[in-house]
Amino acid sequence: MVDVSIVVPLYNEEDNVQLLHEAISSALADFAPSYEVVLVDDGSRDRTFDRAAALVERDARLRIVKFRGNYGQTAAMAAGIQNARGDIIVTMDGDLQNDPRDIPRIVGLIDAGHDIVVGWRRKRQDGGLRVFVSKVANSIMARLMGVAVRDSGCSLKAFRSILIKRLPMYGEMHRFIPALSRLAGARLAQVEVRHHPRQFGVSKYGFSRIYKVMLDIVSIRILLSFARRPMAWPRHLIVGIMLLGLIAIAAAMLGKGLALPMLAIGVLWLSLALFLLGWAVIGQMLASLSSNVSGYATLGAQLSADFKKGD
Amino acid sequence: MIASAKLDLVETMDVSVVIPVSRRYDDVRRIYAEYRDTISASGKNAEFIFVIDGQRDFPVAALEQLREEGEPIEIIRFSREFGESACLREGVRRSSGRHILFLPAYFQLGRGAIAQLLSHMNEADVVAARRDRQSDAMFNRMRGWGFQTMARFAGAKYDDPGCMVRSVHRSVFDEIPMQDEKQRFLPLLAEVHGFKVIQLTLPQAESDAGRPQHRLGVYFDVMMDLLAVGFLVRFMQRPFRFFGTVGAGSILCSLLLMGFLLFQRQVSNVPLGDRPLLVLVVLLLVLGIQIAAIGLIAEIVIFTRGDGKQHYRIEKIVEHVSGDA
Repeated sequence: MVDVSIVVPLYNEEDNVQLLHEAISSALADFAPSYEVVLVDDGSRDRTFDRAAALVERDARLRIVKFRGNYGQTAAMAAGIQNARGDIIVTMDGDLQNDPRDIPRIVGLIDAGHDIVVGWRRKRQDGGLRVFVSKVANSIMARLMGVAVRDSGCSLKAFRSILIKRLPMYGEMHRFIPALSRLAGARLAQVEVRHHPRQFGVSKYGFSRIYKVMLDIVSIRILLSFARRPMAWPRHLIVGIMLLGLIAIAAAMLGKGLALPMLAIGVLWLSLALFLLGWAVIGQMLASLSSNVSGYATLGAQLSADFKKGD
Repeated sequence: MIASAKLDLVETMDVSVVIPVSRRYDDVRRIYAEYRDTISASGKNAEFIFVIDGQRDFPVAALEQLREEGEPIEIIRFSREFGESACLREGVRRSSGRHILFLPAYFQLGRGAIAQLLSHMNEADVVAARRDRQSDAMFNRMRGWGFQTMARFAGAKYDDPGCMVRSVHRSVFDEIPMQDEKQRFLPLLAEVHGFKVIQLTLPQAESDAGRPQHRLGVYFDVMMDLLAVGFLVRFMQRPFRFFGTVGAGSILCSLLLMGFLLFQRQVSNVPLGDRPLLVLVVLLLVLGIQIAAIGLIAEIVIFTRGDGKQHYRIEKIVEHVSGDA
């Protein structure tokens, strides 16, 4: 059993693998807790896997998970996390932009009682436009999710494994992990970390489209309220729309004679409310068919309970 | 890697040839001789499985005679028509070869094309053929082109789903269940599941060129399947991105229309309350919310069934094996 697992997704990083390994080893040479490194090869088309596999011969603390194809960063992180054995899981990028020397510090914060620690790249070494897009996305996210996380895109994070193994990880969920954890009731800390410009290879990110992030936020908010109360996720909408319908019908009746267009509108709104009620029932059915919905809702309570026991 | 090593124990056959026979077929003896000679010329041993889709007038006797002459033929006959994918599924179930080669019961590709496919068989999990339509009839070429464009739009790179000639490694069927008509898109689905897929452009048989191929309804079905598969491939993880966009579009239309109505009321003093156009505004709004709600339900479906293992495939895990571990 190890204390800390370091999960690093790799995609076409043949030049960086060895450097990364050296950087981690030297940064953690004086690190007291035992650690392991889980490298996830996300279907690289170059020699990333061969080089990483060669390192395993020399370093028993290394484990490599090889994907059959390219499934994206979230999937790679999820696979690494599921295959990690440590009580604390640290994630970082494989392109050496994060600095492993920050790891002892963020792990220390977890030991101090936080459930999740997020890096904040204060002096970001990326192109101006990319930094700008990221800042806008972060502020939208902060507003819509009601959780202020300075730098959600920073890959250098640490979690207690009981938290991260329970969070949903698919699509591009990794971006929302800090906000999701916070909403689940986890104790979040943010800490400034070093950030280096890329040495080798090209950046694999396109400009994340803000619009996509917004759509994702809407769906995640709904998922959260669904997880808390499966039947009730559209309740505000249903009440609002029913009111609209009733007002429209009342307006149609009150005038001189019956205003047909207004009546039609009222009926339309009421029918929408009925449909949404139907969707809510479907949601309840889905929740009762699945066992992992309630797991998320009770996560926060469980986290704090576990912490008191373990300490 | 591990899977194929395990299967080696039970497999003796290199290739299982599955030939579905439905409405269209050429002379059985010629077809069989051609296929057999091509495959044995490549030095592989093969079994042949003919699956006859309830065609009453198909000359089964000829096949049975071949079988009695000692040819490695298995014949499965459906009592009525179940469709091509049922044939393929049944054929795959009875097969034992390491690779499964799907071939049509008529000459679809030109001479030598199948030999070419066989020579690439070991390079990938799925080898799909695509007809070179240079000599095809005008209408078929147009249709082929239209279909390709459509396929590209839906995100499919393998653009001749009508071409039945494919070689598929057995391990693919362990992960991709053959459902309804989805077998047409097997190359695409296999790629999504992380298998290696290559597509070869091969010459079309002369007898295939210029033949009107299906009834019109078939094309419609194929289009619907294409959309379904394209949707699954693109938005499986984030359905709300799709539905949310469509819903937002509808809501935006409604708001624009509402703006126009308000403008008319303020400027030209047209009363708002009893205008039929107002119904359209609300209808679009309701529609938009409905579509978005469907997207949210789709998200919930994925969330509730997601144990996180469906969306990636691990080929192997490498770690240090020490004595005391």
